Amino acid sequence: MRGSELTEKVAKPIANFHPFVVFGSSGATKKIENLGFKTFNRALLNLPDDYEKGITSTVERLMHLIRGIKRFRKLSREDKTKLLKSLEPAIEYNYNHLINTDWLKVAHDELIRNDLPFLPLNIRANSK
Amino acid sequence: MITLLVDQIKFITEHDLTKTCVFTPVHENYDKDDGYNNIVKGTGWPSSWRGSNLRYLREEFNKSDFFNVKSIENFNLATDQNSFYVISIGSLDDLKMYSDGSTIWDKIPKKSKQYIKKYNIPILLFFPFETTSQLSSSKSDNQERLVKFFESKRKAGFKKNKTVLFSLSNFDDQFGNPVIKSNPMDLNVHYAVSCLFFNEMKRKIERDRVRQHKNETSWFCDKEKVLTNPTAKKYGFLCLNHRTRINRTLLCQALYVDSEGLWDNNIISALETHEFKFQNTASIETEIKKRKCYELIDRLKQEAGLIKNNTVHEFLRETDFNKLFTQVLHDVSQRPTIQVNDLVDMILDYKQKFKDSDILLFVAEYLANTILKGGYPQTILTSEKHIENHSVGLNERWDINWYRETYFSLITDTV
Repeated sequence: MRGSELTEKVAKPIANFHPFVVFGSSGATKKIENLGFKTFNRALLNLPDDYEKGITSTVERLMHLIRGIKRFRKLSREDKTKLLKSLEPAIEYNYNHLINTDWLKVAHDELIRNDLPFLPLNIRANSK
Repeated sequence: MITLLVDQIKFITEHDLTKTCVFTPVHENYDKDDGYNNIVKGTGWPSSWRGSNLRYLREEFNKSDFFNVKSIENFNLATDQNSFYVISIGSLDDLKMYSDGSTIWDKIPKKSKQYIKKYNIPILLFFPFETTSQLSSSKSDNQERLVKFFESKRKAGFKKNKTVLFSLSNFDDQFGNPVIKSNPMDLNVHYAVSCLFFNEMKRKIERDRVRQHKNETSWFCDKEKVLTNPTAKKYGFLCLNHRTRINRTLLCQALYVDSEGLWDNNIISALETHEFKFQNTASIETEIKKRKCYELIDRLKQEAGLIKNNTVHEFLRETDFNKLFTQVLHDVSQRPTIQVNDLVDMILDYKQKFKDSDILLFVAEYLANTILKGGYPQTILTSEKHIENHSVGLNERWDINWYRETYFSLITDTV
């Protein structure tokens, strides 16, 4: 239940024609994909598919990320630009998806779900 | 179609325009709130988060094909099958007891309470946008606040009413996992994750598009240039945000201490604590020592029993990593000749259990190296003044030109 939250920071690069990588809660990238957006973990930094999977710890993800950044950094300017160019269709798709989706409908569908999860609350051992 | 039930709807005609105003229980003196007044008076962009919430009820939901906003007095059991009674949460202050001992549940008008109970109408705690401004620095305080808030729901007689907290997150990271004395099933509190920030961004884009035609330097119009002109990319990536979070701190440290210089040639926005910005190193360190040191020690003592296993993930969840870092910074200042290994031991000594984990050792080493390399990363490639001058709505303190100057964004979200 925990760890798949997003904030408006995700919307920033999408609106600014920027590819992005999320270093956030476990499952954040999957959540973005479930909302219909393309993600760039593998294309940009060659992050493994299980980068955010399950119990992968924060520090493990950080290490993947650092390795990916180092790989990216070694690319020539020409290669980086070429890579960015190859991502343009996905970047543009994301922008259009952001613009053309009625996010109120998404909110509606979320609220109308019958199986909304309970807010995570611990129960004290001596609870009634 | 979801029906959003509010306490009153007023129609105000201003300059021949009919504006619908939504009234729904918010904090005391809500009618004096600037953001609220801005909406009522139609003076433009709401200045508060409550303003954003209410604007959505008034403007967005009211004209949506998927939502219908109406007064609870007009509730119709036959037609309003999917309905929620809306309580707009303006800030996290709304989750705590007011000075008169009442809570937001007590603000609900008597007649509305009767409707809600009689028809068992679900309640929507409407808090779809991010704010952490009202959070206490103490997670236990926040937990206590949340627990009291939900328990006061039951005391107010809404035990059977399904309640949905509609927010960006499940509050877990901000509040921890609150301990409820009673059975949480009795409280019947669910959560749904808001995506309305995407709509907010759409509005901003639409607004900027108008400006774009007047200003050739507008940012997304020339994406072709951005993508094809190599000189547009001066830096590698754009990352971090101002407020300190565990992930941001960790990433910052990792970039800063890396031998290959990952900190350089990237745009990394400055970090600030909740209380103050890093502007003057000497005074900051003094402040840090004063404010944070003893708080950290107390915190670690309190949490010593909370670590169930020795994974760093658990550790990071259960402790305020920034405070640990700050404490170590303080200790280093007392021992100017200290070596890395001593520092590692010092960090590990805060909890003997840390020694069991290689990952934690890695964290400790990074901390130690960071400190010895020159203190907490506080330099930025763009000046603080530059940041302040480029506030643009949702891109708060985030220069839009930075997107042109970098290849990709590294988002450190939530934690």
